[in-house]
Amino acid sequence: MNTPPLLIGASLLFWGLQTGYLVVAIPMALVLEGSRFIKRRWDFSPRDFHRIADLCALIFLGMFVLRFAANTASMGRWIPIGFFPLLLAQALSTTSGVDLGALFYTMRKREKRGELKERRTADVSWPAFVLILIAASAANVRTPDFYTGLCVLSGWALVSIRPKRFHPVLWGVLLLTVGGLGWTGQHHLRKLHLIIEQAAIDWYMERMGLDRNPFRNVTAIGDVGKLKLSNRIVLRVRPEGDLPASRLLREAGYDLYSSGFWIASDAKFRSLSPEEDGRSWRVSEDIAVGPPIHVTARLNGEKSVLSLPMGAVFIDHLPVVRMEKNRFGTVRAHQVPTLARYRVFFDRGRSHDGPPDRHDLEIPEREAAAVQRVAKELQLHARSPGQVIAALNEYFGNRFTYSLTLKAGRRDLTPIEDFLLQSRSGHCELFATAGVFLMRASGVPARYATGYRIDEFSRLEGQYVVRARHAHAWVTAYVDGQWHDVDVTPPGWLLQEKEAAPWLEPVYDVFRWIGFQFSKWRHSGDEGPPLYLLWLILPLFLILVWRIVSEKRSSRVNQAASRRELQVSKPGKDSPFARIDVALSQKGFQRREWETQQTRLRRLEHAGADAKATARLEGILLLHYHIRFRPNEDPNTTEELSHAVDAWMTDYESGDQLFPAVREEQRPSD
Amino acid sequence: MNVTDSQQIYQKIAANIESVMRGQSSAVRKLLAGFAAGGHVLLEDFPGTGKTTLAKALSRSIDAEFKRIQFTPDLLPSDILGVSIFDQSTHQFQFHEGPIFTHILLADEINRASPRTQSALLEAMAEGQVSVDGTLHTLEEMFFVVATQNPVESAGTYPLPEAQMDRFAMMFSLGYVSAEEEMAILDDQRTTHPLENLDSCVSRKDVTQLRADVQNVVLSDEIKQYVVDLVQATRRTPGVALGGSPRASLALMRVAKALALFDGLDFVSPDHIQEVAIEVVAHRLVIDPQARFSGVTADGIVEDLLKSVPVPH
Repeated sequence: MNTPPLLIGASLLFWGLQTGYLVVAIPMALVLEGSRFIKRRWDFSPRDFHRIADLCALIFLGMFVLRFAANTASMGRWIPIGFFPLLLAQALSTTSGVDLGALFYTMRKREKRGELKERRTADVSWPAFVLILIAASAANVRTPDFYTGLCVLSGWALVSIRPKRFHPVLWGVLLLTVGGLGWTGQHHLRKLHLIIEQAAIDWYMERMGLDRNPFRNVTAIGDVGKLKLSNRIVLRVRPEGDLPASRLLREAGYDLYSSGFWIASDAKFRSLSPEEDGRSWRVSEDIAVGPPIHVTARLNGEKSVLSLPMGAVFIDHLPVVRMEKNRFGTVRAHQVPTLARYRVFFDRGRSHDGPPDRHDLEIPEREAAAVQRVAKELQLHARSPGQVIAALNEYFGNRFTYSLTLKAGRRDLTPIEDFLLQSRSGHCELFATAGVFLMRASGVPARYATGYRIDEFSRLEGQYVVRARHAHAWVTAYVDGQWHDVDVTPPGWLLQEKEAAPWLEPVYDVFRWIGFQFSKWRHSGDEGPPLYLLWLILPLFLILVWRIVSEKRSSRVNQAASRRELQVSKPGKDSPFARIDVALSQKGFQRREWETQQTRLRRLEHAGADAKATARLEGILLLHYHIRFRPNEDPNTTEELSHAVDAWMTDYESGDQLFPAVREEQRPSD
Repeated sequence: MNVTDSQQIYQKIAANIESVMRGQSSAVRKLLAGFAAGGHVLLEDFPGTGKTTLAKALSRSIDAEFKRIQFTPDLLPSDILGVSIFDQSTHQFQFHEGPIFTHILLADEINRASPRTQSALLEAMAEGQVSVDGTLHTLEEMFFVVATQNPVESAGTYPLPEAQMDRFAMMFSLGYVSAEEEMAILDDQRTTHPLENLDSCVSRKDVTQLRADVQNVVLSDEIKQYVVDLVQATRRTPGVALGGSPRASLALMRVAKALALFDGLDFVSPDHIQEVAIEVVAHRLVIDPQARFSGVTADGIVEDLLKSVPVPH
């Protein structure tokens, strides 16, 4: 590896710290850096490199599948695991790089066709270093630690290739300046980003009114068109005993209606305190009754509203930072894991929502006339609450039809009036809204609730699946001092929506199920080390072990003999001139491999060295050439050279005679 | 071998030639190196840059015979080698020597003659002798060919085949001189060409001695290895259809020896090899057409190799 010792190891550790994969990073770093200390090297053939590259490709493919299935961590942070086999192979091979054929398929083809006269390799250690840093950044921890680490590692990498003619202090100051500029730059860029993001969200929310807002629900009431419903599975429910009788899982409740909007008035959230384990939350002070249900939901974002059955008492297995609840029984969680799997205990007979107030009997003025007319028609005033519910169910069930098509009604009527008096057809939001108003007209406090209805049992998964199209709205009515779910939508709605589902639905479900199993597996460790990552590297280690065990392929490589070289005599390799060579190199004028000593002296001259001094050096060099390239040179020449070098070194050490003119100010930069 | 004497001979000839060839000291050094090494030189240059003057000045300086052949498409081998003519009085064929029987021969625009004529010359260059009508005629000991070809015009030319390019020890160009030098040339030639007044400065014996001394310059194993590394690397370089031959290694060694002698050394240093590597090796390489179209040149390849092959130091 051409990178300085320990740099790759350190960057791997940094990556491990940032991404939390330290368990994986430490062995990787140890193995890679350890390779520097063992003398044994393997003579990998181009085909071996191809195989290792294929293995890397497989690992990447696996990550890709996993990423799709789990839909969580970005793939970026796994990159080092993907290319690790190739990097390790390079570190352990006799070649200084990886065959190009391993990296480019076209080169591999050319190799096969025999178009390449010789083996071409590329050193992958520097690209690997950069990739590791990128992977570390993918963790996106947004702390100053990351930036500091990045700067230190980059500085370390740059220090190794620092041109010697720059003074280390100047060079260090420049590096720090660049680092500082980068920090302020990104800081302000991020500020700008936040401002723009907030503005965009405000604009978007205003236009679209994204829902499951616990304070306001925008319904499709009054819209025209056909409701498009997704078959995506949003929840999975596994009851330990029975499902809640209403089969409804509520997300939010609202009490005020105004032209298409349901609003929760006075819906301040109150924080819940966790139980001791930090993953259990008591929603209300009641003792749980009956077996719980398990809910698996894919939640997103910082705040998420939970789907809970009416009367939820206790939630556990939910590692979130904060939970809060409002008086409508809406429960909101902060910093939710992407795949939340929680257990809910609930009270089958009682709800724990706040008591009704005057808003729960309010009928908006614009709808009042129509509502009163229907209420009179059904003689709701004269009935008991139980009878009212039965009457409403019968009324909506027999005389209304469920429809996903939203038609434009008469212009002089509000959508609710049109629904009640004219079209008598609509979707659940209309039924629920009208239901709430009719309840209130009969004197029963009622609220509007949104959530999902559990309906479909998946034999494949062995549990209930709740799709996006099972989203529902219904009435919660306050009867006998308790809130009850009252679903007034005609029961045929589920069937009707199911018919709208594509015929390939079962096939999709199989894929969804596989994806779910993957993400479950991925999330199984919770806080612990990601075990599945180890499975990805296991094949690599097996291959390595196989390589080490098959002795015939390994060879102890003598570094000197690795370069095939004719045995030629090299007289005077230990020439005293070597001291001058070192002195000039320290000055920043290293001799390049292809450069003769003379050419180097000429370079020195170009850089502004004193002509007299270089002429003197040339004289010494000539002596060196004599003992180096003149077979059977007189031994006295060596002595002469030795004296000349001594004299020069003394002069050199006593003062910088090479650049006398510029010595006072600064060394030449070129 | 007396290194100092040989160096002085070189310095005299060089100074003499430079008195008429302004601003071409490096070209003179290279030409003399080729001459002293016993090789032949191909100059690829534009008309009027002083190729003829250079060859003439060399022949005058060393008191040698000079002949010149202007190559044309209708030039025949006999025009170069000579011809046997039936003598009525003696009733015998008499061989009339062609211009090749000289010390220094300037073969101008060599690529204009037909391949047959070209090969007649090149064979003579390689063998040092010609056979006409079954009789062997030996050429002069000091036989030295300076051939020229014009890089610009390609219409009506017969480019030299690779095998024949290989027979030239070096190929280089003189190039234009700087504005000041060119003005000085104008001054020099106000009335007569300075060449007219050029006298020989060394004897032919001295020259023979110089050429003999070159043979005695030594080459360490390490330098030999470097020469071979360089030439072998040309065979492995991508884009090269035909790399340097062992003849290239030989030529490089000989020319470098001459340079060492010119510098007053009896051994070759790596700098000497690097100094003439391009001139000695590049013209022998055949670049494959695809690489040529993408801008790869033989000179560039050798230059790159000089900057990659590790050199003994």
